[in-house]
Amino acid sequence: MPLPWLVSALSLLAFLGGCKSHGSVMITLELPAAQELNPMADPRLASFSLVVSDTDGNVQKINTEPYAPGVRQVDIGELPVGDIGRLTLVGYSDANQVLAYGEASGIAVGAYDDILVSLPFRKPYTYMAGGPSVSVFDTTQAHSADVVSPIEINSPGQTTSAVATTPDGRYVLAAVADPATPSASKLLVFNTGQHTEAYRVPLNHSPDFLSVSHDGHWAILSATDASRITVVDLQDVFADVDPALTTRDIVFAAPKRAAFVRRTDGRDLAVVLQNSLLKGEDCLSAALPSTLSVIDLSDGNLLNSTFFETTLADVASRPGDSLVYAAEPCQQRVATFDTNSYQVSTLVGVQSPTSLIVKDDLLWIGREELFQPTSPNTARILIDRVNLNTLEYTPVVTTPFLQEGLVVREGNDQGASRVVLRANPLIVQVYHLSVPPGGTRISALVWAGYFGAYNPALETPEGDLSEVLFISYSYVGLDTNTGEIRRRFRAGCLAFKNNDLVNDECCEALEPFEAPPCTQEFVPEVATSLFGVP
Amino acid sequence: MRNLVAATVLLACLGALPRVAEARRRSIAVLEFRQGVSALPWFADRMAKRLRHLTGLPVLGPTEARQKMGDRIDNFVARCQGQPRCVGAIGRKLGVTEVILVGMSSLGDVIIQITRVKVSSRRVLGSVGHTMPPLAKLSMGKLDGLLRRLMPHRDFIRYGFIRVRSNRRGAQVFLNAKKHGLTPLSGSIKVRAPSTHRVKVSKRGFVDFSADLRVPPDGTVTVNAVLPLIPKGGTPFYKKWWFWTVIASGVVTIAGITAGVMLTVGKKPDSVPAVIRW
Repeated sequence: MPLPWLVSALSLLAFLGGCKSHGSVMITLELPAAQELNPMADPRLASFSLVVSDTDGNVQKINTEPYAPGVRQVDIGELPVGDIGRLTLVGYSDANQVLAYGEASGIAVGAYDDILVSLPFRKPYTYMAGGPSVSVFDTTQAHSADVVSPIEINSPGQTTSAVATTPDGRYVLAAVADPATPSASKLLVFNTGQHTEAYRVPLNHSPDFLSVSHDGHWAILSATDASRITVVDLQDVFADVDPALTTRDIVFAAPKRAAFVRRTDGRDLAVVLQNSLLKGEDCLSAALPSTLSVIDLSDGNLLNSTFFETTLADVASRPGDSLVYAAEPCQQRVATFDTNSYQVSTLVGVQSPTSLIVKDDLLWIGREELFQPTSPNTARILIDRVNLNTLEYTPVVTTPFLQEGLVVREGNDQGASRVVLRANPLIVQVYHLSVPPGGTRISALVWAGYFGAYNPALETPEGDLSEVLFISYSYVGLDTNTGEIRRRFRAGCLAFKNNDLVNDECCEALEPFEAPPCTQEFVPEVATSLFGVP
Repeated sequence: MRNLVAATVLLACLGALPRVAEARRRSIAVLEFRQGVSALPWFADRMAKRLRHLTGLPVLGPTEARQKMGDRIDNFVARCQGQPRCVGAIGRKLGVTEVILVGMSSLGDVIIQITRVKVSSRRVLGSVGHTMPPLAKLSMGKLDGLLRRLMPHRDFIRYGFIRVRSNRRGAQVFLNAKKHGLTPLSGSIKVRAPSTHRVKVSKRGFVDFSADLRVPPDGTVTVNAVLPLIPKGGTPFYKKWWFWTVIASGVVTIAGITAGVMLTVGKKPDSVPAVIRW
C-alpha cells in the first residue's frame, strides 16, 4: 500500500478511536480463602459503601448499595474521572457497624478507559504481638466471640515482639525475637487472606520494635540490646529479592520505635527514637534522656540527632508530613519535631502522655494516671485527641479501669487457705494505641498497677501485714463516643513482694475469652488494626 | 561517507579529569579485621579495587594502607574491636575521610560485617552484614550489592565529557537528537558514564556529520566534525519524491485526528460507572 493511503487509513482509525463509548471501573474483591476470615460469609453484612478521596484528601461518598447473599456483582455508582488518592469500600451491618473493609490507592480513572482495580477486602481484625503467637481479635464481634485462631510462628523459644500491617491490608508483619540466639530472629510476613506465612526475612539481631512506613515501602526493626536497627525494603521482600539484599543494618544506641516522614524536599526519612520509657516506668526514674535521630531511607545516612532533656515515651507521624509528634511525659507535653529545621516545639500541653498514634488528621494520646498507695481513688484509662488541622483538643476516654483479684496464700502451712486479694488500680498507663477503621472504636494496651496487703500467717499479730504490688497487662477495646470499655483481655498478671517477682501467684481466673490460663500468660507488646495505622 | 565520519572522529580519552569537588574531597580506606577466619583471602583488597572501579573515588586497600603505616596497622585494627572512634583514628592517620571496616568472624558460617565510619565525626555512617558457608565464594555481583547498600547511591553515578569541534562555525550540534548549541561550543558536554551517545553536527549547504560515541567514566571524548560542502548538482531534498509524500500524509493524519477530537471533545464524561465483582 502506498504510504499516503496507509497514513490516511491510520487517521481514520484514530478518528474512530475518538468515538469510543465511556470507560468503566471494575473493582474486583480479593477475598480470603479461609471461610473464617472471609467477610462475605458474615450473615450480618447488609450493604456496601464506596468512598473516594482525591489526591488532596478531599473525601466524596459515592454510593451505598444493599448486599444480597448469592449475588456476585453490584453496581456501586459513578466514579469521578481523574486521579483518585484513595478508594475505600466498606461493608456495613444493618446497625451501621463496619464489618468489612478494603482500600486501594493511586488510581487514575480515565473517561474512556476500562480500569480494573484489585481490592483486598477483609474483616477489620486487630493483631497483637506478645507470647509465642500473634493474637487476633475480630473487633466486629461480641466480646465472647471476638477471639480468632492465633497466627502461630511455630518457633519454640521465640516470641513475637511487635506486629504491623501493610496499608493495602494484604499482609501482617510479625517481628520474632530470639534473645538467646539473636541470629535466629526474623521478620515473618503473613498473608491476611489465609494467615499463613508468605515471606521470611532473617535478622541478625533480636528485634524489640517494628515500624512500617505509611506507604508500606519500609520497615524498621529496632534491636535495643544489640544497638542496631535493620531497615527492610518491603517492596523488595514482596518482589522475592534475596533477603540479604533487602536489609540494611545501622548502628544505633538503644533504638526504640521509629516514625516515618516525607520532608518538603521530597526525601523520605525515618526518625528513630533512642531511649524511651519502659512499660509502667515513671519518667522521673527513667535512666537516660531520649534522642531523635533522622536517617535518609534511600541510603541509610544519618542526617541529624536531636537530644531531649528528658525521656520520651512514643513518637508518631502523619502520612506525607514532615513533622514528628513526640510524647514527653516529664515535660507534660506532646512536642513537635520538624525534620526540615530540626527544631522542637510544643504542640499541646498534656499531663503524662505515654503513647501516640495518628489516624487521618487526628492525633490520639494515651496517658498515665497515678495515685499513691493510700489513695482511695481508682486510676482511669485516659485517652485524648487533637485535631492536627485545628488543634482542637478533646478528652475521649476518662474511664476508671477494672478491679483485679490476686490469689494469695494466707496462713501457715497447716492452716493455709487461698484468698483473693481484690484492689482497684492505682496506676493505669496506656502504653500503646491502635485505631481500627470506622472511627467508633479505639484499642489500647494498658498497664495497670494494684496495691494490696494481707496477713501472711494466722499466728502473726494483727496489723503485721505483707504488702504486695501486682500488675496486669490488658488489651482493651473502647467506644470513642461514650468512652466505655467494650472489651478487655487480660493477657498477663504479675505479683511483686518487696520488689521481687513472685512466680507462684496468679490473678483471679477469668473466662477463656477474658484471659489465658495463668501458665500461658504473656506481655502484650503491640496491637495494630488492619487498615488502621501500619 | 562512513569512512569520512570514522576518520574524523577523534576519540581522545584524556584520562581522569578532575571530578566534582565533593568527590575530590572524599577518600576511603578499606581495612580488614579477621577473627580466626581464613576464608575469602584478599577480600578487603578485592573490595577496595571494586569500590575504586565502581565509584572512581580514591580508595586505599589493606595493602596500600600497610605500605603507608607499616604492618602494625593490622594490630591497630585488631585492637580497635570495631569501635568507631578507634577506627576513625586510624583513618585520620591514613589521611582519608572514611574508613570501611570489614570484620570477618566465624560461627560455623562466615559472618562478614562491613561498617562505614566517617573519620571526622567518628560516626558510623552505615553497616551491612552478610553470612555465607565457610567454603563458599562471594560473587562479584554479591560484592557489588553489598557495596551499593553500604555506600550512598550518588557515589555510583559517574560522568564523562564530550567535546565537539568543527571546521564550520555556526553548525548546529545535536546530542541524541537534542540541540546543544552552535559551533564553536564553549567547554564540554557532561554526560552520565559509561554511556553511548549519538552526536550530529549539521549546517545548511554542508554534508551532515554524525557519529556514535561511547563515553567512559571520567573520560573526555573529543569529536572533530568535518563538514564538507554539498557537491553542486546534487538533488535538493525538496525535490525528492518522499518529501512531498510525507508532507501530504502528515496533513491527512492531522486532519483525521483533529476531526476525531473535535467530534468527541464536547461529550467527554465527568464520571464513569463502577462495578464491584467478587
